[in-house]
Amino acid sequence: MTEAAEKRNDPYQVGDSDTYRNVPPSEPDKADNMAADDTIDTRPPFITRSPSVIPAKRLQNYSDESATDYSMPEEEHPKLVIWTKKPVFRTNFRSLQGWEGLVKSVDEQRFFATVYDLTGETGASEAEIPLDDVQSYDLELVRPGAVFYWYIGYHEDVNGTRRRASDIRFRRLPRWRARDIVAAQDEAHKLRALLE
Amino acid sequence: MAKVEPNQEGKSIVLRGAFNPKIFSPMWFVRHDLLPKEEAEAADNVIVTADISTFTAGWLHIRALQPEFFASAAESDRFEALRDIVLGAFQILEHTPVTSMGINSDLHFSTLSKPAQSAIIERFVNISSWSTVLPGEEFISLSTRGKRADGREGHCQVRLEPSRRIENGIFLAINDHFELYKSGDEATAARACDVLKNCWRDAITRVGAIVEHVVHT
Repeated sequence: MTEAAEKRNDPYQVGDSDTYRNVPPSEPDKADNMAADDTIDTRPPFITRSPSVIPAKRLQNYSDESATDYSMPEEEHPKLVIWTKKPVFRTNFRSLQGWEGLVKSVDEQRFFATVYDLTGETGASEAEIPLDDVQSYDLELVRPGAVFYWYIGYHEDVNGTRRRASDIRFRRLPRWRARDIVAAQDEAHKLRALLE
Repeated sequence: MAKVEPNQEGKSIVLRGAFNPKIFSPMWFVRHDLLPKEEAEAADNVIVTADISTFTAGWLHIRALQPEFFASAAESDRFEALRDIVLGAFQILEHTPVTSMGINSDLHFSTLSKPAQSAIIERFVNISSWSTVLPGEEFISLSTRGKRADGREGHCQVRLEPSRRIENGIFLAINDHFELYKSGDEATAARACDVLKNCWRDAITRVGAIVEHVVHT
């Protein structure tokens, strides 16, 4: 128990300095192993396009509805959990293998890249990938030097039906600022000086 | 015992510090080339206020409060993109005070049978020893914490529970926690970015080792 949690006699032992929070489930109807404080106090007004509101109790750590270690009755301290109403884009992608790739060249129909196994178990390989496999919004990012992630796995829908899938996503990082370029040049000069 | 793969897996990155939640709208991420416009425009449950901002854009869930920034992905082919979006955001907001950071993994394992589930839990704690003082006891949760082995401040904490999503399944929550603040020192997002750049791969490897230890041995 953290010191902060002890001071508050927090039954969930979630101190102010803790940096653990559960990943929200994609299916809110399922009871989940949620962190106890993964609820949001409602202090209207909220600006929200399509809220779906479910009682916090349904998402607390213990699915037992009769659990008595809930910090405060909901009537005294109303809580809402704002949750995704629609299913996420893709139900459940399970990757079998992933690579990080570096684009070497591009032509009208495909690009050529060096790909590295993300597990580090195998070395670099060369790949030729059709542009049709790239999401339309990522096409502008396909140019020499671009970094992408490539996963092969399968999607499993809510009925448990699996289908093989390949997924490519290009890395997005902020534009380089002038001082970033200067810092990179300085670093390169230092490295060069070490080699010479 | 046959090797068991996680049935469901998610990762989250939590920063603790002092944030301006109003910044973190979906379009802010688009303006800085961190998220495709198409994904941002399809974002659901968008809340942007001075006290809290939250949205879900497909695979990505973001929630910012004044003391905490949280980003998560529940699809394993988006974990690198999750790291990049947090890294990108706080490279831009590099002077934001950030005192600690967690790289968290949530894993649900299907063990298929109650005995298999019990065997894994028994390795963590001797449940049967409780039956004399707690008749009908049911294992709820157990956490253990270790020091960091990489010389950085912080700890790694593992929580084991029966999965509430998978019958007879196992839930593992792994908190790879980095303390970024030392007394009298300035803690900024730049340190969090340094950890994300240099420790991400080790954090992923550590999750694999913990899973191997808890579930497979």
